[in-house]
Amino acid sequence: MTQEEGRCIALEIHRGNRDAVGDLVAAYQDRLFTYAFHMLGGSDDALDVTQEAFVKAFTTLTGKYDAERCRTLEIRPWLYRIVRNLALNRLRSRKRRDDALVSMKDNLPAQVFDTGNDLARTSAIRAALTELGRESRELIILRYIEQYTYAEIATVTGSSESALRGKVHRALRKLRKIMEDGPSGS
Amino acid sequence: MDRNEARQYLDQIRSGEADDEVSRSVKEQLERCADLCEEAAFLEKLAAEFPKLKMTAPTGIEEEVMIRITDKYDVIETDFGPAHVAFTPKGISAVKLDVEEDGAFESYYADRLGRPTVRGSLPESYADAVRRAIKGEKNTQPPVTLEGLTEFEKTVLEHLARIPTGEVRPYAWLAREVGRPKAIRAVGTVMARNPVPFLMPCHRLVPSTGGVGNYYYGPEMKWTLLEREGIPRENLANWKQRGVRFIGSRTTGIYCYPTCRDARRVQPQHRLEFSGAEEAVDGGYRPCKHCRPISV
Repeated sequence: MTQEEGRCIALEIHRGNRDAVGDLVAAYQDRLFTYAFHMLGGSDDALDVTQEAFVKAFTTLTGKYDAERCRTLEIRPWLYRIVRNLALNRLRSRKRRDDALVSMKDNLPAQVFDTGNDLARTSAIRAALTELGRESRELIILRYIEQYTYAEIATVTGSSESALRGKVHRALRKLRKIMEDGPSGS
Repeated sequence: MDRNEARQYLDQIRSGEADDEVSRSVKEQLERCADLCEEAAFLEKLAAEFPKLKMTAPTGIEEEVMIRITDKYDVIETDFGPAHVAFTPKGISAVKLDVEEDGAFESYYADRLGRPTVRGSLPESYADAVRRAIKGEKNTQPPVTLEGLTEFEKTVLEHLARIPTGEVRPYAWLAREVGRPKAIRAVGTVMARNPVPFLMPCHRLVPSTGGVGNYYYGPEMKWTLLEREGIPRENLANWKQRGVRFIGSRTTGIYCYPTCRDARRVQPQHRLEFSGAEEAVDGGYRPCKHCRPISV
């Protein structure tokens, strides 16, 4: 979907055209799901967040934004930001929950990766990514899977471009180390 | 270090002429090069791996999203009998009493807002907001969505919602507030077609000449609602009968609509009644900044 099409679709949704929501879902569901999956490290939560993000996009476009705002909206980074915020909220509440669990059961790992997903086991890089830490993982996804420019990543995450360059570089370093040393732990 | 220099240093190292300093720095450079080569090779390997990270979303997202953004309605019990309450993810979109036939609400809704609605379960907070409004309790920020209405309707209803609980204003006042002072009838029409009565308080709009005027569910319900909000029926009737349109305060030199919170505070001995704004202005009074009485 081009930027222009993205704006048209935002405007259509703003006008209350619910069919346009279907188009938006079709155009972005795989990418947003990928992003959410790697943010959250599991497919159940990722599915929830992806669905929630589309509902949220709908309510914001129809309820909060005026026509002008929709006309000038950069829909791609905007959608990523929605997913990001929802995913971070979820990670926070998960952390609270896990903290509570840990205090009850002592030594439970803080975050259990969903290994039930077959896809997650198929490649070494997926395994390596899960060890990478949330922030680095997110940057690798945005930079190398979505092929975002640093400026675009900056609009999604809110960091500055120069800081991002350093972070992406360090993330790659770490990824390489993990992949060359082989999976740790278990 | 450029190429020629490097070659020179290498020669020196080979022939044993180089001092320790030089050989160490050359060695370092070479190691750094090797590092970079490895890193490049790693990136290349990674580039082949990256596409594997792309995932396909599970099926059914579209259906789920569409279900969640489809308007729902539920029937709740209120003081005025059963009420049909429709809602979206953004808030309550319609409230209707006295729906008698099956399907009548669905077709009203589709006609009025241009989209379908299906039976669903109303969030308790929404049900509560409707019941509170009907009881005449204060609803700060009623959870309402005006999606599907015209821009004019939205503007009028948004301004209407700013009339505080327990106060009334004339139709002409609202027309002035929205910047269309002559569109009094149009404002009346918006009230008559208000899809979210009680929450968007169209019962707080009354004729300039006093009394309560008309109401979709009949004037009796309008009297009741205003009474529940704290405006005694006899006051409204009395002002109308005696032609009282504004109340002035001798101490402040300000005039208000009779139900304005500032007018209610005026002590009886300082209280003045006016039958028109002209009379008040001629007497040296200025309009209240809270209720902003119109000058005609």
